[in-house]
Amino acid sequence: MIQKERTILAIDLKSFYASVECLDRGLDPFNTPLVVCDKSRGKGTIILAVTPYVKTLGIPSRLRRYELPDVKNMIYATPRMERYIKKSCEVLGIYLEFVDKIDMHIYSIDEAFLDITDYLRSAQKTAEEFAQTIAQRVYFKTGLTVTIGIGGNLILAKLAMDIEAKHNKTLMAKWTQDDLPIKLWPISPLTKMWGIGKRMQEKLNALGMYTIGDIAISNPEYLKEKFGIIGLQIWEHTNGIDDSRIQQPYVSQSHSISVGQTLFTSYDPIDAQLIIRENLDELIVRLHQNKSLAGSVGLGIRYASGNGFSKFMRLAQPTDNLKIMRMAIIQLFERHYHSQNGIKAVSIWAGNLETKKYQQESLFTDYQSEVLQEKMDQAIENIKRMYGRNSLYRASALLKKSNFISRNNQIGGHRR
Amino acid sequence: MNSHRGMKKWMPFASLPEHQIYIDKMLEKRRRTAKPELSQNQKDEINQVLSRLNPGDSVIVFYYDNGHIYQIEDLFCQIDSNQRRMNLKNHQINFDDLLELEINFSSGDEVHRDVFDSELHSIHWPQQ
Repeated sequence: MIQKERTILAIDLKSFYASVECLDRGLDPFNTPLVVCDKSRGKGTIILAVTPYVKTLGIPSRLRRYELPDVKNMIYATPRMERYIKKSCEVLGIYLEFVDKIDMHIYSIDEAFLDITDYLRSAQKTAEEFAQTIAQRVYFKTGLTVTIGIGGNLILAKLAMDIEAKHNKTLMAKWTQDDLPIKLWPISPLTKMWGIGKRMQEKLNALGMYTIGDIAISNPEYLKEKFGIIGLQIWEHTNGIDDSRIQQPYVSQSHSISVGQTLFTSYDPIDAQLIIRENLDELIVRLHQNKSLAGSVGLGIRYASGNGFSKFMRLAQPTDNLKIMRMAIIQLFERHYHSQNGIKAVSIWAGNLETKKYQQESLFTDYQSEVLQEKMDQAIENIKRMYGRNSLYRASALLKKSNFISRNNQIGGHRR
Repeated sequence: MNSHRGMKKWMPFASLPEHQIYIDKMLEKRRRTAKPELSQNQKDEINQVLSRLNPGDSVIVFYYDNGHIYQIEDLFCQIDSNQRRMNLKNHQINFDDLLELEINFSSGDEVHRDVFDSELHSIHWPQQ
């Protein structure tokens, strides 16, 4: 297939969390010893980010606190996830000064792809100049430094960024297919390349492939036979082939929403049900935000021993009703929990989502009580929206075993 | 041979649901526009049309509301000078939010009026 060449930028915010913490303190990330980690969580807590300065000391960006060597005047910044999210959106807003949102793909809180193909001519700029302008604008507006990879498709841009731009003085790199044999193929171990995890590395090693080049020059048919479509994709990527287009976003088909948590100590079944109930409240809020109804609910339990179960149940009728969903999940729990084991992790999810508008009427639904329930749920959500998320909660949140309040002060498991 | 996975492989893998909420807010904010300033000329024009309107006229209205500009087609009922707004069959629009106003001659004036007449009884007219 002939693919039309695009001009893609892969933009990454350098040491994002740590840089935000420096800038908010009026410090320069490039010569401040600062790490982002929640000191109150003890020695084993993960360090979320370190400044570029800390990296120059040879310290990796992800490590546990006890692995961190003594550095003079080290600042421990407590994570503020909400702040980072807002900052990230500010930066995304800056990208949108340059491109339309249809030409932007948000990959993570600190990474985005821009398709600038159609803007270069009117801006009368080369890709490098265009990228430079964006970098300067972000720096001017936020003080953040960006790393930019430029390529004819997403994988080339991403590889240029990950492998070269991050270590470049200019923090920018442009790659074409011709760069790959020199810049990509010698790389080893394989996990250094985006898209290859530890497991895949082991499997590829077992086939005698130790450098990226070993994969690139192998037979794609063989890789497809061995690993399916993913094998073929890896081969394509090692050869700089990627026909995905930002303008054709992937819409997941069987969408689901899940809420889960790993518990700090092991819970007995009664306390675990408390956690399930709390998670369900959160799940329903998400359903409402999504304007969706759940066609099925699922429950996953992991025991302290390591094993567990994961089961789901189809609902007679798509719903976002708390009572119905709770009954179904408790049923799942009672049916499948046959163990004296303590419970270490709980997750619940809503699957087979449907848009709320198209709900089918049913003779078996008690509409009046459903409307009342809906009104109550809505009222509760409104109170929370107006007076903060800690303004109203179940009395059970005050029980010792509840994690509700501490979770409410977190995003993605870290301090809000 | 091609894997044809498209943007699927570029799906965020560890995204925070809260991030999406703020992204949506940011996009919504960007969609908002400032309220356009009307020239004296444009104001006079609106005034003129307002004074020519009869109950039952079909009108096309451009108005501003909370960061967005809307275009609607509706039937004119009355002018509420106390509240400084015009009442349409399905909308109430403050004079201050009016951006453009025209009588919709193309919509089969007579037909509309017929429909409207039968509904006149249900509309509560203020004492003039």
